Amino acid sequence: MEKLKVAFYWAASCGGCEIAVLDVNEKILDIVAKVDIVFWPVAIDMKYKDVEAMADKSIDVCFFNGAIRTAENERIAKLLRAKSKILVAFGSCANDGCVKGLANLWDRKTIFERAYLETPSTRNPDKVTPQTSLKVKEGELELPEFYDTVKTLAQTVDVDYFLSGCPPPIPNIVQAFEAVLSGKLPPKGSSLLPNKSICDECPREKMDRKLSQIRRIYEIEDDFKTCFWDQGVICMGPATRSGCGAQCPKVNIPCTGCGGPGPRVADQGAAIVSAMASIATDPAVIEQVVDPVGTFYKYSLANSILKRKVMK
Amino acid sequence: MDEPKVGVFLSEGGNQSSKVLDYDALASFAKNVAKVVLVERAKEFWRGDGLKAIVNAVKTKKLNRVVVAERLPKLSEVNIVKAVEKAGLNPFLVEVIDLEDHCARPHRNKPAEATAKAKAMLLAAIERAKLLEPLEKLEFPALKSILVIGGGIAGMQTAEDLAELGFEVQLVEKEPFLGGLASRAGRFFPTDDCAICIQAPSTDVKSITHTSRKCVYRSGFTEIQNLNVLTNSKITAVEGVPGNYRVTIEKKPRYVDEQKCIRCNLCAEVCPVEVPDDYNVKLKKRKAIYINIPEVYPPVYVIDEKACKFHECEKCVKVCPTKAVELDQKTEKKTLNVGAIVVATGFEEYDPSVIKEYHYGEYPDVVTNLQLARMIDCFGPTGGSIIRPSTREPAKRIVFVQCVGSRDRRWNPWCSSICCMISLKNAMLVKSADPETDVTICYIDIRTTGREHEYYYERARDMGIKFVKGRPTEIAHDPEDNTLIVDVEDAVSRKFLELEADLVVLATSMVPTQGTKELASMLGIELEQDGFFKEYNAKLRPTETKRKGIFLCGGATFPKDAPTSSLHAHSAALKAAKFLSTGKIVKDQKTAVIDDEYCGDCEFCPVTCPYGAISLVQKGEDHFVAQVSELQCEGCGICVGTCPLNAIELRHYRPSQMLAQMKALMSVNGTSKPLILAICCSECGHTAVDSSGMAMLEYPANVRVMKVPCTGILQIHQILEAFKAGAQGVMVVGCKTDGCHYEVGSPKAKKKVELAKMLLKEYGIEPERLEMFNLVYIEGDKFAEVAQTMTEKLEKMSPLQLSSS
Repeated sequence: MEKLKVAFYWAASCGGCEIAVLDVNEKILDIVAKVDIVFWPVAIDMKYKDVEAMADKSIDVCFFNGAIRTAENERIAKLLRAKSKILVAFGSCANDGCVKGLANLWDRKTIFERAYLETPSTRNPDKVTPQTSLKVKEGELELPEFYDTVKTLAQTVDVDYFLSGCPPPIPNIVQAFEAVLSGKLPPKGSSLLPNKSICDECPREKMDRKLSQIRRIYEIEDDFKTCFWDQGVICMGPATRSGCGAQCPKVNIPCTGCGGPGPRVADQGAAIVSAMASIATDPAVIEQVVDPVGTFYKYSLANSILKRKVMK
Repeated sequence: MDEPKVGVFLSEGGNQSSKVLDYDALASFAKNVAKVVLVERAKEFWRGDGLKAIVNAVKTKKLNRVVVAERLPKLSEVNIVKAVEKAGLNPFLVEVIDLEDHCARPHRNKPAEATAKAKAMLLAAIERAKLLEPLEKLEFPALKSILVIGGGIAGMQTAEDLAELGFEVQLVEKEPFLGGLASRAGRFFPTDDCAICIQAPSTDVKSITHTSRKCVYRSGFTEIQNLNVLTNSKITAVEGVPGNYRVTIEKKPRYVDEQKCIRCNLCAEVCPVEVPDDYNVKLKKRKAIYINIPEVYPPVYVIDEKACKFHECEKCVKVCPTKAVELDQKTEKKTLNVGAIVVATGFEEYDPSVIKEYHYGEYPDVVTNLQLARMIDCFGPTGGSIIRPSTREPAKRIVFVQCVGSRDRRWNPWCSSICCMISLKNAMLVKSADPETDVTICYIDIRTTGREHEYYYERARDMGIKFVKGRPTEIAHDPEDNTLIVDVEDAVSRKFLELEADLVVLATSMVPTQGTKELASMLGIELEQDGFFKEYNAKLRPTETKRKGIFLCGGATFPKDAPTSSLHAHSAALKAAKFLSTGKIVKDQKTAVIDDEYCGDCEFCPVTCPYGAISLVQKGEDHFVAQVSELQCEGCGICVGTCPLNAIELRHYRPSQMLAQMKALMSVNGTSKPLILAICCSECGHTAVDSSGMAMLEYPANVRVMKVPCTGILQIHQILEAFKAGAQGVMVVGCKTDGCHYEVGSPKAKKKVELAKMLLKEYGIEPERLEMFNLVYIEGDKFAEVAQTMTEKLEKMSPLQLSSS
């Protein structure tokens, strides 16, 4: 039997998803035995032109991680879409924009000003900021365009399957490989994670669900068994897709929402805030929220209803 | 579901509508909307020929969705829905809107704008109608049996009413004898008749006339058909659903056979154990085998199991001539299946010993009103004499202290409402028994609000009872001559007084009976802040609770005098009877439904449901999902507004239906003003819009109204969707936060709006673009005013342009 042709790519990402692929540990041997990795910039020395040379739909499955931040990200997303039979949005960045999506609270101009001019550690007397092209005597240098808005993969190209998480949970990665290998894939557009929320997998006990004040994690003496919400700590678990087995709450850290919104939810932040308002017993709770976007949209701002801050 | 075939019926009968709106334009607009197969116009559609036209069109054109623009939709809808149902179409596939009060009247001076808005309203109704789904009528069986908890004046009254109406009634009393607190009061104000006197039941053939009254003991009360009295019993568990509650009752043993006891008192005479008598508030001692007073029901002795030495002694067993004493009786557990429950657990005196400055419990001559009432009662501990408990000598100088533990933030902030009258009654009874007795009442305000009550007060003054306006600061005791000294500043004479007294009577606050909290949690009903049971609505449903089939009466909701308790009891009986009269509970399916596939078991929704309609059920190993009881769900949608996974939807207000409606309302502007979406609850919010139209008030046509059952259904993402759909501002209009028809929806919406404003700020959108308004129905003027000011505010802002695609 011919081996399955697999590609991995990282767009605007941190590299954690790449590590997660390796974290399948000894299973990687089974996988490698059955697949040909035709493109994987982090591990294999291949160039874009090699991909461009491939026939359309010649890659069986492409696992694409990272958000669409630059013109290069977009170009390769479109290229890999054309070359792949199945395109999987892999990890929180590709699915929901992840932490990079928080840059949507600013735009290119303000980000460049901050990063290249204003930070105290920057010395940039000529006030140079990245340009898409620059003529030097050796010729013309090019940088991909930096967009105002971070986009998700699905906002850029047609995506077949979604596997979120920061990074995706290892068992689900293994399952995804197995599904691809066996050809037993769910309908196009499905998530490869369960449809439930973190709470479904969380062993913490739910108590009276009455939120009278919000406390930061260092302000509580965690009893290691009561649900964070019942201790006044914001946990994104109720509004976050499961699959990870409630890894964080199990080690006494509230969920921050990397699994992204539930399957029917268009806006993860709005969903948890609606829920929170509904169980709050005291209106003063509202004032106790610090950093609303960083708390409720840490992973999903780019994939929310409004997607970004209004540009002036 | 078949492909939607929508029929649109435009009534032109509205006085303003016909003048203002361009019906030709509206009709041709509606005709061009996808799936609209018929547009008809007439003077009116809600009666007569118009109604026939709808019915005819449903039959002949095979319409499966009906949209009607008609005046007074809240009235006309009833007729239209009924007619459509007769024509064979599911009544939930009809959408009725009001182009008169919601459009033509408020925008009468801008006909073009009004017509544009009417188009948006029509489109919204059509889009919503297309997505509506047929709903069923649900029927649930209901047992024609009722449990009444509490055998005081209210419980007995309600039990009697219900039994005589033919329901199987179980009356449960935790004490060994019926009568409750009222029976210990001796006399009732303002009639001064016996507390244990009740209306003779109609089954009492021996009563002289049908208006005869008798004391509880002689009334034949317990012989009423269908009525079963369980004394010495308490509720330990309540399960099941309205119409079929399963109640577990623990009946403590009496140790005396009710059939054999002849009340000869020989047992009490030989009993060697003496304990303080709780019935007489510890003013005397009683035996371990006892009866409260001779006139009690049931007329059977009882053994105090905490005091009795049982088989170590057995003196009563040996002396009993009828062998009625049975020391080996055991606690019985009973399970009753009842359709409804009436709570009549009453109130009790607050223990004033916590108020240190009054030294209750320390100085024996400081007593409560109930203790004094027991002394006045000739069957009481002193045989009717008013004595000083310390010396048992007659008390000749008596000072009453009002508001002990009441109207005092340290203890209970409320006015217990009956203590003024109780003190007046007791003071007069004392004074009339011995006019030489010096009686003073120290009060903050004398509250005599009932009929005849003020005359009662005047009579007390005429009798020579003295009144001092002031709350005593301290009750001191002079041990030398065993005199009590009441320190009080008289606000009228502006003098500091030291009143000497033989007996000080505390008019204590009235508080919920012990066990109220536990009972409330077993029944799943709420308590007010004061600890009394909370009624559904003080004005409209004073004897109902938010749990269907659970009713309240008498002092369980707040201290009441006997006439009011009795009135309340009749009312509760009527409500309970109405609830069970047909033997079934019928309701429509406009309920919430939870999709198992998506419910993530966060367990947020059960606590937000005001009706306790959501429970958790196990689904597979270790997994739970929430489930809605269709019987208990009232369709408010507060759970929908809570669910962070959108796993809950209201069948008649699906998110898809609401979104389609919202987009349609924002799709046509036709004014030069910024579009505003007003999300209005169907209770006060939407009717405030009605009333502004009826009152011919004007506001700009850019304000578009979307009806939701309760603002509690609001999800913040809907607000964001509204902005995305083109709204420049969003108004959320709900009931007053303390007047929400679903209790908690409006305050929850308020919190959501505040949080959403916080998010909007982060998104760089002016938070002032979103406001919540809490109105009542009659505040149509306020609605028009806020619609106007909101528009003006938005006009000053630069238009919102969302860059997201």
